[in-house]
Amino acid sequence: MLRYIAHRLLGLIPVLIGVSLLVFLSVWVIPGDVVDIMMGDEMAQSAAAIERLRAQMNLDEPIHIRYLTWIGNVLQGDLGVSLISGEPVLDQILRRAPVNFQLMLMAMFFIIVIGIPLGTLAAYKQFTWIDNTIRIGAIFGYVIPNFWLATIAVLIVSLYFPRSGVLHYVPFSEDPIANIRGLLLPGLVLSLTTVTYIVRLTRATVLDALRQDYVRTARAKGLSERIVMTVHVIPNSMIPVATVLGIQVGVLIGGLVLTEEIFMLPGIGRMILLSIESRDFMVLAGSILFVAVIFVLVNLIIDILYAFLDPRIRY
Amino acid sequence: MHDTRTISRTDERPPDAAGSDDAVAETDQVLSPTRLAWKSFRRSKLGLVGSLMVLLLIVIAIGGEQFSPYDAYSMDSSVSLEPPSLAHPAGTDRFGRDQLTRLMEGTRISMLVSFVAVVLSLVIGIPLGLIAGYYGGLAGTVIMRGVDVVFAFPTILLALMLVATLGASLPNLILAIAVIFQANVVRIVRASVMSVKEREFVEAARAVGARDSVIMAQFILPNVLSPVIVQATFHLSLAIFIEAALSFLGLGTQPPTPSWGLMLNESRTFMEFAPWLTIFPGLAIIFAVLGFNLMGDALRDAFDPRLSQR
Repeated sequence: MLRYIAHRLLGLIPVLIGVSLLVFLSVWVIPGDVVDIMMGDEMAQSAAAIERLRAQMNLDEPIHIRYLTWIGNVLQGDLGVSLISGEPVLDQILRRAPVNFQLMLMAMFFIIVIGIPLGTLAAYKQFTWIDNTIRIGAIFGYVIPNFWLATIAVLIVSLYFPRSGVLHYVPFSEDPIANIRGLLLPGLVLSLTTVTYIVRLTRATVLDALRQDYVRTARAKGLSERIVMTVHVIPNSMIPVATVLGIQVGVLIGGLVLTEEIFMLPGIGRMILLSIESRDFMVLAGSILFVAVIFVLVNLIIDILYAFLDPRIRY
Repeated sequence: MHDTRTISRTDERPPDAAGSDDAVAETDQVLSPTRLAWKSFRRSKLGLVGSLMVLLLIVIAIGGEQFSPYDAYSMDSSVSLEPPSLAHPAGTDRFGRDQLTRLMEGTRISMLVSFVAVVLSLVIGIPLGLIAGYYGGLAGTVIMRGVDVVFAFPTILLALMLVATLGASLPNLILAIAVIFQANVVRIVRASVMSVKEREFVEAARAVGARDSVIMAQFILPNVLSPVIVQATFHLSLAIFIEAALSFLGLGTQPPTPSWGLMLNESRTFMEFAPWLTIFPGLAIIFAVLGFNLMGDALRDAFDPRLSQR
């Protein structure tokens, strides 16, 4: 196990170097002379912004020196300062990260409490109208673009429930209840695609478990259906579901940009969009690198947990 | 019983079936895996529905606004923001343009982006996957590290970064989507090549002195194509989604070109008085994504019967 973890950690190094190179190259090199672009941009014509840019980018140095300087700073926790506001990028990210964390938790909550029971129910009632309804619902849920659904949700709430407060974001520290109320709808919309996926997966794995010999034995010795399901079927069908839940964290991270934009939440996704609009390359590079590294680490943890959960897997 | 795995090319009847009546010959016939898959695909009702939906989209994409009495770009302020009616089945937008016509033009954009991006991803991904799987070694390692890097980003975020830095335009969007998809293609091709390259027919080809390029093109490629085709079908629907999402964020298609995502974005300003502008582009995206997904599901079941037995 330890050897496996060590092996995976070592494998992480080239990936992280590649990720940082890709971010560096696409953000700093492809746009040509960034200063030219900045000069042409009304948002950033201030001399201060250009001064910050020049100071941070070492524009006179050759490209590999610029990369090494940048990555050296990043490794020391310095993602640079915003070209527009002059605020350190990392501070900005850390200020916004709680919103994303909360939103992910909310979405995960919906995925688990909606997806797993529905999938189990569909499998238990296979080929009945209940199963068919759930399966058709899952297909549609999967193909409905969540940003469209979010837009429609905002429309319906603002037309019929304008005073409900579900479209109003309040920081947790100010009013926890209003905060959760404001994240319900974004969390639900964000979870949709994954919920439908988890429904389909849970249905398949529960069906698989229902056909196992140990389930037949359990029934044969007279255990109630309730015990058969809760003790024998459900726990055994949850391992693949748990893995996929982890992988879906990436889908959720990707979905954050759209969700935050539609519901006007002050998270990292909106920060990325704003930095693109204002051509704040320092913020763009820093925040995308941050999200990618989190994403890579989450995937690593999932893989290790998976090896831990399922002793049949040997590496 | 004939073993279908050992016969890859022939669709001739076995000698004993010759001359018997067609119905019997049909069941006795030895089918290649591809033909078996095709038969199974045709039997799938959902696959048929999906294929018809895709066919309709392609026809609309080719015909575009020729099917409509209106022009997708010309403005007419006298019919601005009209609700759906017989004259305008999907209503009109802020500038009095017929929305159904614009949705049909948008179909062209969606199909263009998804097909070009997917073809491009295959053109890049298949050779890289063949090299990585067949030769391995340093080239293989470098290719697979590159793939890992692409997979280290959430899809939408990588597309967002590439388009934002290359510049928001249709060709850049296509390029960004192709770069993301090719990583998946490389992975699939490499995995299949590695399982195929040790098989007897490849060794036989090597033994008679066939060159590597011939072995790859004639013996390996045909055997790795089916998972690639299935994945490409799913990529088509994913590309439609990504194009719509980025255009929705203002980073894809630029106005006045009608793209479903862009139309959704523009509709948000008038959502409360003109909800039809929000509803119909969404339905168009659902229709297209559903069509390609149903087709992909049926293709996957056809090529891999083990999965459909669930």
